[in-house]
Amino acid sequence: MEFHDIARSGQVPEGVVRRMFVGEVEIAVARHDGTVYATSNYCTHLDCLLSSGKVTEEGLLCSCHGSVFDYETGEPLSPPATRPVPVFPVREENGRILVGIDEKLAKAALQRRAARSRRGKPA
Amino acid sequence: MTPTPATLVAVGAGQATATAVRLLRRRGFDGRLVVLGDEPHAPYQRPPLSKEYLRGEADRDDVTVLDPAWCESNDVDLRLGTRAERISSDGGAHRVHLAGGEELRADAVLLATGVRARRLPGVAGDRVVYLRTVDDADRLRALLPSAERVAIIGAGLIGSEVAASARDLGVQVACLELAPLPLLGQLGPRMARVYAEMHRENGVDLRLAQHVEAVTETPSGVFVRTADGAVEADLLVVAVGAVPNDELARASGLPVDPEAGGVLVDAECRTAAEGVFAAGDIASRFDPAAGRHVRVEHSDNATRQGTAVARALLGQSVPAPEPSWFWSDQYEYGLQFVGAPRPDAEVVVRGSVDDRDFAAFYVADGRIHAAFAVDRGGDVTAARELIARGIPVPEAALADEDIDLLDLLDAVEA
Repeated sequence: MEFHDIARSGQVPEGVVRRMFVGEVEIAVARHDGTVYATSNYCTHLDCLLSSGKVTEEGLLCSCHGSVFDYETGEPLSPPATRPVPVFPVREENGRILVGIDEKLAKAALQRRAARSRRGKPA
Repeated sequence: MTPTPATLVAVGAGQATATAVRLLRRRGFDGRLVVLGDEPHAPYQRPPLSKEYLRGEADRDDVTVLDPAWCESNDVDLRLGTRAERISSDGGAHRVHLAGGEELRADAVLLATGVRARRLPGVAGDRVVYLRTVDDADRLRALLPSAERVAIIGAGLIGSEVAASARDLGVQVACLELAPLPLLGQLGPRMARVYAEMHRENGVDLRLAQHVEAVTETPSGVFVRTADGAVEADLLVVAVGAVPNDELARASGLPVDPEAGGVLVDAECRTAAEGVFAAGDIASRFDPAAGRHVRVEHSDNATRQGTAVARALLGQSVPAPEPSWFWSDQYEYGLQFVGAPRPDAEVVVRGSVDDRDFAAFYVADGRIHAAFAVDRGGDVTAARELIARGIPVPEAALADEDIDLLDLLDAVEA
């Protein structure tokens, strides 16, 4: 797995979620209790942008329909989402945030609900 | 503190039960869990039934909320096609009496029997649909694409969502609403007019202040006569609200709301009987902030109350009721509402109503009481916190797009 340097640590302060890209792959990068987490930026419910959502105690909240995803596993903790969101491994070193992506993760993250996406506005 | 119960029987297999059961297992509850569902289908979410599912963009797997395989591997006894009739209690020991005569012992019971679609007397037939269950949705989903024109009685959320889905499928829609504006009580006149315009712009023949006098089936469709007109259509959808399924509670001697129906529970979702909880559409929960019982028919409410019950069973603190929140996706718009409508509130708009990209805040006494937004989920998330915490807000800041609403929260925290 290759790790990509995507941001300075200071770009993702505590309690904040930001939208980042590695090539075509769009990533929601969030910091909760000091730890940085990275998931696909697309909510598995209707493709809203998780970077428009909110860092909560339980997990990453999608502001379209209220789904909450576990930071570590991507499992939906709160409906309406029923499927996990792809999670990327994160390293934070020397004031930089690095996100690991391999082909399988990239493919999972690029999958969208084909029919009709309801994307939030980019934050 | 009461000990964690050894057996929980949940009556009703919707959102509230699914949330409670999943949370209990996630938090390590190792007692017995029994879920009774009177429908034959795996427990599912209802919000998509008038939207993605109805349009054929989602299937059963997409809407399943408590997967039978998950139940199996998490030792949840999921009994479908099973109707409970009554609970008898002896102190903290309960028996749940099933329709077939079987009795289940329980230390705790969750009543989450939901609501059913309200019926108009004498209005039924092959071309008439009431939308509540996935079977109803399957029927409408099969009928809708071949219809040229559908009539809808009721422009509430279900009626509006069916209208929007039908328009998306290219079906003509005539929608009859009793009130002078749709969702008037919820949105107030200004935003209800915007809501009505959105439907008309998308081709809905929205007729307001309509009293339906008669519905007759014709050889080719349905004829709806109102006090001052008529609509002919291939298909009729009746969406005139819901009725609480509180018969089991009444048969069990549990106090129910004499006017609105629903089982009376305290702020922690406890009924008058020790160890018996109620959650979701059926529960009329005491809201300390409002000083009265409130019954809410929205998915988020069911999720929150399911969470409250799980936490109470685990001996954990139960969060106070939060401002009621719902979403509705119609056409290309993501609509959200949070809070309690207040007729005397002033409406402060952030964004552009004309561009259908705005949040409207209902402000009274210097505080936000509710917010309605189109494609502004983030603003609603912020409003929800401002409402919950009763934070005073300057109106100018609400209307100013350069001010981050979350900063208004931080300003207080600092």
